[in-house]
Amino acid sequence: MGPDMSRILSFARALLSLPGKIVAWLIIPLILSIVLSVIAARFGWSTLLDWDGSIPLFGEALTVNSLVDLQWYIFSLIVLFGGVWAYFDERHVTVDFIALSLKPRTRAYITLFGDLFLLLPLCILVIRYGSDFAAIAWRTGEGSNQGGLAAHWLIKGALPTAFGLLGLAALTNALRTLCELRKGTFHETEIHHDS
Amino acid sequence: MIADYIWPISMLLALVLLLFSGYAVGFVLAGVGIAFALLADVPTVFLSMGVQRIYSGTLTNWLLAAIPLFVFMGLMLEKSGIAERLMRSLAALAGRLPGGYAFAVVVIGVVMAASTGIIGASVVLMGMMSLPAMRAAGYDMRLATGLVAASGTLGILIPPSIMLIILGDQLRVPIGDLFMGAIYPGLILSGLYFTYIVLNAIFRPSHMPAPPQTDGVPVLHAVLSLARDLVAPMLLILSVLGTIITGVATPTESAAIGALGATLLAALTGGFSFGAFRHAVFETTKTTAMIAFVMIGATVFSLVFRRLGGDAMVADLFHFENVSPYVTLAMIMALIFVLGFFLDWVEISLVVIPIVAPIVASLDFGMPTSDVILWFAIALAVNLQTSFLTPPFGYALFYLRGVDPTIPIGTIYRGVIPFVLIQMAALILVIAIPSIVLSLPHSMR
Amino acid sequence: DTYELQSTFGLNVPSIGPSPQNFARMVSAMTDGEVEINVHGAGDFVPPFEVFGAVSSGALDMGFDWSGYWSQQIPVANIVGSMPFGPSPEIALGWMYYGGGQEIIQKAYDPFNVHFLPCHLVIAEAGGWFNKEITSLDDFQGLNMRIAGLGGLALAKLGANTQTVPAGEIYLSLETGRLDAAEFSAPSLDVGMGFQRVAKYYYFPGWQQQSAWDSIIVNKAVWDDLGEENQTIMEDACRANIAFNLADQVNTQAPAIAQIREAGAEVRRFPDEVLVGLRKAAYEVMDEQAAKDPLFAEALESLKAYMVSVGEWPELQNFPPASE
Ligand code: NA
Ligand code: NA
Repeated sequence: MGPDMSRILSFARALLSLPGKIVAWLIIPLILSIVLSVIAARFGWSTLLDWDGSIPLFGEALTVNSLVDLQWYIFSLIVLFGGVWAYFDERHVTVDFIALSLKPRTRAYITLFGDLFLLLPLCILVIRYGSDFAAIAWRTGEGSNQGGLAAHWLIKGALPTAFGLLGLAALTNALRTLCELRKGTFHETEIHHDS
Repeated sequence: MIADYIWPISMLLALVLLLFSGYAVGFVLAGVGIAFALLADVPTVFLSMGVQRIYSGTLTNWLLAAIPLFVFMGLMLEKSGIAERLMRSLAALAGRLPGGYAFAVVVIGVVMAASTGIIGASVVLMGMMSLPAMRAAGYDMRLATGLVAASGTLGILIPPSIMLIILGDQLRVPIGDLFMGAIYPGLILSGLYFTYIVLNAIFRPSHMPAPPQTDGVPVLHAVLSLARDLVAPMLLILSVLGTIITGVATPTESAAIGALGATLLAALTGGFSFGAFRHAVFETTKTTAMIAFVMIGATVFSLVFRRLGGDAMVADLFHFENVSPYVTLAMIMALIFVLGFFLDWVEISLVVIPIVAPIVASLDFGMPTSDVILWFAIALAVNLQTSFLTPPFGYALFYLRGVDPTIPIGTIYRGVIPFVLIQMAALILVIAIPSIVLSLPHSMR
Repeated sequence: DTYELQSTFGLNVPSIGPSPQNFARMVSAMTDGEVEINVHGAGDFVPPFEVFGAVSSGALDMGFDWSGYWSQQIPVANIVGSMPFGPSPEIALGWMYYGGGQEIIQKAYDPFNVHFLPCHLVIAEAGGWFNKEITSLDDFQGLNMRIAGLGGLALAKLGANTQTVPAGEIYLSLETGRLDAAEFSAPSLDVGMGFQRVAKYYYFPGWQQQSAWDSIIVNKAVWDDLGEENQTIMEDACRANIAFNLADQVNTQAPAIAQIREAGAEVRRFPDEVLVGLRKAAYEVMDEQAAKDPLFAEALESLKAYMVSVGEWPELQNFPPASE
């Protein structure tokens, strides 16, 4: 593959992995918010912060149930955007003891097939129907009925967004594999022990 | 019958074939599901339920938040060197005898089992804490991975456990009875693991060499380092369990306390650098996504599998007449074991239990029906736990592979076989001697 | 034709489990097999909370639900699902068919292309499991309680730390003390969860839910295609189904309560002054919700007016307490 193509592809990889690297840091508020829930239970606090009117995402007050919602919001974002990043780093689970004994060319064909006919249809499915769900959630203002967070559309919207990125990632990789197949040189499976 | 079930059977065949192709498991599961929905002319709007399953079944499941927390805890303990020092001090208790690390794994496994109940969380935590140390000590990686997979899955049998909660709900058995009933089988299993390690230490010591001994350190220094290396991390691990028992936290919340504690401990013992911290943050995200994407794929697969008659096929398998109660029970257990090769345990619980529960309840084992169901539920739990470990499609094995992608899955497959046999021995024990399950719940009444 | 229905409940849950199957059996018999309904349990196709969306999109033909499940998108479903200090089952029945209830809910469901058939009337719940005695409103201050819906918001007003612990974590949390109290359901369902072993007191009345509606929900296009005759049959089958399940629920509470007492839990009543305070808090919460959603306001007004207008009837029929 030409140096331009190669540069474009690695730029696409970096760009598509970026949201995962950002949401990764949400593990800190995840840990702290759960610890805060535990403390609140100990002291019997229900409403942690109260304010006038309604603010985006948090609604009318910060309650213990807001923290619970915040926790699954964070979990969702970590899974969704981390999934795209994990895809580029080849961290998704594989059963490869047979595949490792195959020729690089055969493996490249398998990867190309998987990207286009196994992964891409899933992404299209989630984008197609996930955007409907997100739109309904937005329109109805779907949110907690327990005094928790008031923006479920955020996560319902993140679902098709992340799978959109994953679909782009699959196309990026398919392009690279096609180039490799044409040139006959194949990249090594990268094993990242570091970021 | 095969003609009636041509779709589900071909789905399973395609799944197995593509699984071995080496493409990512989660994407294979989802892709096969979608492809077959299209081939069988299922209306595309039906597939929209796949998206709903991903959202409501996986993303909004608050209990799964324990996964990133335990992964982070494991990474902090590993990257700061605490895990290795803890393993070494525990192993040092075995002196120059071989197998010290292996004993340490089982001990930590049992303690962690009592605090996590989510498949994936404990396997990944245990793997992160112990595999690097065992590799460095020259352990046979088959033994090491088999041991970690087996002790890591103990967590879903030893209470609290999500699996027992779902089984209790499905079988209408009080959760408290199930929790009590699972304790002896869990202890028997850990005992059998111990026995296996002892046998290995005797007959194949080269598979589990003793760690190199540090010689001639002053007594005061030894005591201090023992406090730092053994006491503090053990206190942390026990406090995860302790916060549950004392009612300070729920099991999921205790995972966050563990994660915070591990970070503080890393900072206090000097093993903390920003680089290590960032590494733990990043790895947590990718590992969590890896676990969740297998769940995501499985939920899309099973949606279509059901639609194309998979559940009817499974129901048909369970039609047997005029055989003795024990034979019926054995056949049910064998069928569930085989289904465990292909299907996720949640699907097995949802599809199979409504079919088999009335059958089991009608069998005469000379016990009250409520006891029969309780005994059956625990046997089923041990069976399902075994299915997590059984190649080719054992979730625990996949997750362990995710902890260290350099370990070939073939190594893990071979390493886990003795433990699958141990599981089966325990299952036979539980079935042969119902009082293993029933005695504790009875004594509580 | 054959239709696919998914319940939000497991098919083996007492009373609500077999209810849609009973409905489907009657519909099949009454239409001479023209309308066959395949009933699936919770999670067979979608998780319980997604049934409404799947019926709305047409992925499922029909669903069986507790209306309160949809309140995150449809606020009025909250008050229909469970109104604190709301109507008793017989008054709820009157309101639904003759007091304008059905029309209000249908108005809320119309934008989602969902047809609503009230099909299962749930009798009063218990007030909940407590490990702390409740002698005055002050006892709610700082109480860690698992309770859902509008009742939870009312308790939060009284200073309780109300939270949505998943059903599966209730037992353990009561046992360890992480929760001081938990509300789940009526005795016949509660007893199966085994809470009687880990809670000291079982309080009544179920102020947070005196009655509740479970319904058959049908995709609008499917409903329109059924034709008038089959539509009427489905409505009638639901009315018959309500008679079945009212009877089975009344029939199962007494043995369940006996079993709960036998396990050592003490069955109690909230003191009257506590109930008065709870009622005040509950109405404040409902007024707040009404201010945010016009349909909720309409349902609240309608229910309040109906309860007043028929209120004289049970009073006229009251006997003095028996004095043996
Ligand atoms: Na556990
Ligand atoms: Na398996």
